[in-house]
Amino acid sequence: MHLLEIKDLSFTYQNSSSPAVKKINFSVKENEFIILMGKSGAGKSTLAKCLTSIIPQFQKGNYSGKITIENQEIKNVPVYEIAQKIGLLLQDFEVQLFSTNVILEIAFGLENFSLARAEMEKRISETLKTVGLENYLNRDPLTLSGGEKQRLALASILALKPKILILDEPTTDLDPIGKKEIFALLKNLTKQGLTIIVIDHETDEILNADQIIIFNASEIVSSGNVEQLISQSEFLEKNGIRPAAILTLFQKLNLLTQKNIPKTVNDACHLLVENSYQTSEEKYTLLTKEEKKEKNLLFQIKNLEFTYPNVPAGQILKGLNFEIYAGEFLAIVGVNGSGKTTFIKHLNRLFTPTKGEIIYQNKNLKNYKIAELAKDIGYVFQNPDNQIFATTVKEEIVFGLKNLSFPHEEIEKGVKEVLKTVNLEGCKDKDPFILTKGEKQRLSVASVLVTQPKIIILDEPTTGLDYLELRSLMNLLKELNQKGHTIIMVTHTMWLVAEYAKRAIVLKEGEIVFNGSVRQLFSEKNIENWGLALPPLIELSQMFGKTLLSVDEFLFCLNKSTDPTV
Amino acid sequence: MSIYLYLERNTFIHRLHPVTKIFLLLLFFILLLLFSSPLPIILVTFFLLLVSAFSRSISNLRKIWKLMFILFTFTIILWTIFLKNLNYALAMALRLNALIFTGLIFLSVTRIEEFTYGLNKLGLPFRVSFALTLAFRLVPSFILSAQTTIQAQKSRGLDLETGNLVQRIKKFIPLLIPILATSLRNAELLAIALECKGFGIKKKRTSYLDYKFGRNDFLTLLTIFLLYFLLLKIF
Repeated sequence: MHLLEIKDLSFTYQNSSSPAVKKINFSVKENEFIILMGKSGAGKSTLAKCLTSIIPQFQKGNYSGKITIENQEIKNVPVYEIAQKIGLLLQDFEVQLFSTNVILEIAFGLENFSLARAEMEKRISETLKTVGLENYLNRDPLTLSGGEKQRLALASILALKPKILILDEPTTDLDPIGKKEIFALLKNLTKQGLTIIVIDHETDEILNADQIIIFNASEIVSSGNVEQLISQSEFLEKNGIRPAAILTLFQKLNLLTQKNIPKTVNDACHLLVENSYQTSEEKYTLLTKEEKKEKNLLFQIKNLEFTYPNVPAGQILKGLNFEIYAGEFLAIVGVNGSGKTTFIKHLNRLFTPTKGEIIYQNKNLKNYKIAELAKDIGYVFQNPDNQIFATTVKEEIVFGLKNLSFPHEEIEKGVKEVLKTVNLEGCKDKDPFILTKGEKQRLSVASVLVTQPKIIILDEPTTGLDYLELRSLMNLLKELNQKGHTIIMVTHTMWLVAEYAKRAIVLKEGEIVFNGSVRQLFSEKNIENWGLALPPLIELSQMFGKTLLSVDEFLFCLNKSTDPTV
Repeated sequence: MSIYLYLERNTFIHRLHPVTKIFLLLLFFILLLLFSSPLPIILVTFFLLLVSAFSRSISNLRKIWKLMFILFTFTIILWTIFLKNLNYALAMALRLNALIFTGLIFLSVTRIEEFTYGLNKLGLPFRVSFALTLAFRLVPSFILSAQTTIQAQKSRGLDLETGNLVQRIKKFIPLLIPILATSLRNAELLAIALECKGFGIKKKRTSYLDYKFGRNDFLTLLTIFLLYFLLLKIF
C-alpha cells in the first residue's frame, strides 16, 4: 500500500490563467526519501501546499484530481488535522516562529496536540539536540540568525512526530556544515520510519534520495532513481538544476558512460588516474600567478565592534580589522550567527559601530549621510520579502532612481533594461507579492542594480533561485565586476565562492579567522572548523596536490600522460 | 534588539501566578480611573515606581519616558485649553501616565505566553485568549519588519536624516503603507503556519507553562486589596 498517492492533480490559482501544477501523478512508499527539483516557479511549492491541504483550504482556485494519505482523501480535511500526519516546513519559515523563547516555540504545537508535560519536555530536549540548538533554550527567536531560525522552525515541526515531513527549501539559510548535518539528519529520520519529501536546489546532497522528481512548467518531466538522473548534465541544467561539477568534468573529458559514474571523490580520482590523467605544474603556476591584487583602498575597517544593547551575549563583532579594495569581488563566509550580516550592514551605515571605525574613501563613514552612501552602495537584503514594499514591480524598481533624482528618460530606459537583465519583462505591472520567491529575489536585485552603484553588497543572493537564475545573476555580477564595480557577497554556497569571488573573509564568532585569496581559503586545512565545506571538485583537485576552483581550471591543468608507466 | 518589553528576571513579582498579575493590572486600572485629583494619583505612581524597582524593570521606563513626557505635556495643554481647570488637567495627565506605567510593568514581568495562560485560566477559551494576546506577539515582528523596510528604503536613497522634525515626520508617512500592507499579508501566512502546528485540533489543549496559585499570590492580592480600600477611604 502506498502511504501517499497523487492522482491527476491539477491546480490553477484564482486570478491566474495557467495552472500552477498540471496532471501530477506519483506515489510515495513508507520510509522513502524524495527530492523535488526544478526551476523556480515550476509548481513545487504549490504541490507542497496541496499535500497539506493548505490548497484548497486557504488558497482557492480550480482544483482537480485526488490526493490520498493512507487511503483518505485530504482535499476537504482541515490543515490542522493533516498536521498530525504531515509536517510542513514552509519556505517562509520565519512566519512559523511566533513565541517568545525557543522552548515555548516548540511547545506550541505539542500543546495543540494535548500532550502531557513530561512528554513535551522529552520531545523538546530531543529535537533541540537533533537540530543543534540545545544551548539556545531561553533565546528569543527574533534574535536568532537566519540559519538558526530555520533550524528552530524545523525542530518545531519535527517535535510533532509526523509520518511524512515536507521541507520546502530547508537549507537556504544554513551554513555548509549545517546543510550537511540537516541532510544526514533527514536520512537518519527515514531510518526511524519517517517519510521525507524535500524541495531543494542542492545537488551535492542528491545522492541521499531514493526518488527524484523533476518539475518543469507545472508538470513532472522526469522521475526515477538517482543514478539514472545525475549523469544527464544537460537535462538537469535545462531544468534549473546544477549538475555535479565532477560529472560535468567527466563529461567534458568524454569519460562518462552509464557504467562509469563516479559516485564519490575517490571513485573520480581512481578513474582519472586509470585513464592516465595528471595535472601540469607549469599550468597551475600560470593560474596562481594570474591572481592580481587590487590596490585602491575603498574601506578601512578598524577595530570594529558591535554589541546589541540589553541582550545577553549581545556582542556580535569583536574587533574586526581589514581592508576592502575598489574593484574587488569579495566573499564573506562563516557559520550561522558569526556576524556576517551585522558586518555588511555597517558598510552603508544601516548599523553604527559600538566601537572602532570604518574609513570610506579617506573619510570616516559616520560623516556621510545614509542617502549619500546610497548613491555609491547598493544593498540586496537577505530576505526579499523584507526589502520589497511597492505595489507594482515597476514602482519597486523606480524607487531608488527617483530618490537619487535620475532624469525621467533614464528612469524608463533603466527599468526596461534591468527587467530584461533579471528576466522579469512580463511582470512590470504585477504586484510583487504574487511573485514566486525566486522572482522576488530577482526583483530585489534589479531594484538595486538599476542605479548602477559602484559597490554592490549582496546578502545570501542564492535564496530561492534555481541554477539557471543563479548563473545568470552571477554572470551579471561578474560582468559588473569586470567593469570596475566592487562586489561584496555574503553566502553559504561554496561553489559560488570558488568560481566567482577572488578574496574571502571568514568570520567565526565575530572575529576574522581567515583573510586571503579564495584559492588559499580552499587550501586551508581548518576549513571544516570554520563551518565551511570543500566543494567535491576542489577535493578531487587536492588529491592531485592542487587547488582548482572550477571545471574550466581543471580542464586547463589536466594533461593526458603519454608515458604508460605513470 | 530587545523588542519585547518582557524582562527575564527572577523576582518575587515575576514569580507571581499569571492570574494574579492580570488581577493586579485590572485593579490598578480601575483604581486610577476612580480618582480625578492629582494627589492620590501621585501616590499610586510612587507605589508603581516601587513595584517597578522591586521587579527590576526600571530600564523599560527609560525606553518610553520620552513618549510619556510628550503625552503628559499635550494632555495638560489640551485639558487646560478646553476646561480651563489646571488641577483637573494635571490629574488627567498624571492618570494617563500612570495607566501606561501600569501596563508597562505588567508587560515587563509577564511573558506573552503567560498572559495567554492567565486569560485561559480565567475561563476564556484558548482561541479567544490567543487572539487577544496575538497583538502583543505581533508588535515585535511588526517593528522588526518596519525596521527592515526602513533600512531597505534608506539603502536606496530615502533621506530620513535631513530636515526639521515636521519634515522628517512627513517623510515617515509613506512608509506606513508598505509596512501595513506587509503585516496584512503576513496575517494569512500566520494563519497557515498556526494550523500547520495543529492549532485548533483538540478542544482541550495542554500547557507547557504550569503555575500554582500559592501563598505569595494570596498575600499579594490581600495586601493590594487593603491598600485599595485605605486609599478609597482617604480620598
